[in-house]
Amino acid sequence: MNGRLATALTAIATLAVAGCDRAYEGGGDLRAQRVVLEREVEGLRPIVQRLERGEPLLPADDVAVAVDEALVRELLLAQLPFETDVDRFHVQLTDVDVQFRGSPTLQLRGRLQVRDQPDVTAAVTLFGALDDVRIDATSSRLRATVVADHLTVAEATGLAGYLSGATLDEMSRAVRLAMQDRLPQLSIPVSVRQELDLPAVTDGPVRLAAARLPLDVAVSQVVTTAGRLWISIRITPGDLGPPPAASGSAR
Amino acid sequence: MNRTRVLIATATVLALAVAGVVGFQVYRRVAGLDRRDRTTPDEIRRQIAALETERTALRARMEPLLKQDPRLTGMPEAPVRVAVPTSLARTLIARMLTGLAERVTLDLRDIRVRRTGTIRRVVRLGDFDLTISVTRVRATLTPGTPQLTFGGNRVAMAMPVTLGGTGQADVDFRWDGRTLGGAVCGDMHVTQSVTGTVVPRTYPVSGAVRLTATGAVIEARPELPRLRVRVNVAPSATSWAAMQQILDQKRGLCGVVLDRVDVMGAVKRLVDRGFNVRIPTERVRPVALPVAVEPTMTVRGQPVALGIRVGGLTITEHAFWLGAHVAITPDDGAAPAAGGRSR
Repeated sequence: MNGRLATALTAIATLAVAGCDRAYEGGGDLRAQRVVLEREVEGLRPIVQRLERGEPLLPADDVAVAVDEALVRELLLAQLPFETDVDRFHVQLTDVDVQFRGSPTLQLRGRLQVRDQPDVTAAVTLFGALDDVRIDATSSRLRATVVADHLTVAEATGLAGYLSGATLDEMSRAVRLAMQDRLPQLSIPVSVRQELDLPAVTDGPVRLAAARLPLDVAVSQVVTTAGRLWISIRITPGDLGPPPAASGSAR
Repeated sequence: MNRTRVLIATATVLALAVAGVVGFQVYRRVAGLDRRDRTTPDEIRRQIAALETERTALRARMEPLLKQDPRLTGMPEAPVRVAVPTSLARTLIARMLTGLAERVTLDLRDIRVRRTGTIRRVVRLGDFDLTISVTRVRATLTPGTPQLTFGGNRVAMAMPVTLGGTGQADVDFRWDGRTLGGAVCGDMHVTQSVTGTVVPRTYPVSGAVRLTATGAVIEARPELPRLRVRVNVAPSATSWAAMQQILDQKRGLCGVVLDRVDVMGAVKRLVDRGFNVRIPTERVRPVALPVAVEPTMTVRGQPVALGIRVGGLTITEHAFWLGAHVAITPDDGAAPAAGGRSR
């Protein structure tokens, strides 16, 4: 009886492993490569189209802010290590690489650990990009969101080493989606004020009333070329008026 | 093994097989292995090859075109660069200059002008004392269209401003009649408030706005020459008429005196002198353009000082460039920004 049962169980296991989507094995790294390339090509296309139409890289009347990829890496590195728990896993990201070639792509690297089995770990690389570059309404700082495009898992230890590549890919996908909203934001040390204040002269017979020129400011375009992130900012002055009472008039 | 045992064993194996298949399908569903949008590695390799070909072609088309972009020529070599286009600088400077002029108010109070004298007709008839007390003159400037000419980091500016406003004054005329005159025209005291308008006058103002990199901002510093304006108040027709009426009532015996003094003429002459007022243009403070390199950043909720070393202002035909070296820690090579922000 035991012999027959063992044979049957082996057959079932064989059947299961045979159905483990061998066709998709090893696709994780390739997907990561594809994601980065897609980002880059999608970023390059409109730049080339614009330049070929004879238009400048950025709108001529906009303020342009350029930040080198090395500095962005430093700024992101300052935010690391980044740690978060996703389902049964603990993810720690400790390093980052940034590449501005057509698209502001980045790779965050670290380790993933099964929370209740500390010996089960793996190296993770999160492929992503800077997105939603904007002017923070409160601080007037330029900020960008880090979006996660792909997460690869490698160098798995413990039981995780026995999981198929396809299974790891799917687990990575689930982890990446769960982490998306928790990733650190990039704060670029450039501010764009939303007003210009004219200071008051309040003593003497000739006086100058304080005034405020409101500015409508918005990021109009973001392009990356030759290792630089270019942020184009449209600034439209409004009507000059008195400053709000609470904000005072002195600079 | 009897028949019953064989049946039980077979049923067990079949049950396990069914459970295995169902479990495997559940596993595939939970793990996402049955997603239809999955692609095989071969498919991905083909996509990568196509993307690489397109990328190479796009880069080849882009490189020479980028070098021709006039706006990018002459930009400073620094990790952070900020370019303010001259068109925007022109708009902002023009708005600031006209805004400044519009908000200038001359508020003159308690200015007294006085004329005294003695009237003689063979003998001394008496003494008069005419005082005009300006209780308030309130004048404003109306700016014309500024003309801006860019040259280096200095923007030459020429803008007409027109002075206008209103004024109020008290006219006080005293006549101290002497012996003979007293019999003819005794002491007299006439007071009258007059109102009027500031005679509009247009002044050409020319100066400059100098753009400098101060701290981590581009600052627009007005360089305006001293501006003196002359404030003349023209009494209104109603005020003149009211004053004339009072003097007319006093004519009688005092006609001779009033004719000699010519009170109305004296008032007019005093008023026509006007007042010179200097606009304190040197007190107009610089204004920072709205884009700046910030000396701090927030790391995990804590503010961290950045080392910022700002280069000079680079001026091209199209933009004012500010270049800055930023270090997360000051000993990374960049020194903290000198001067700090004036915002």
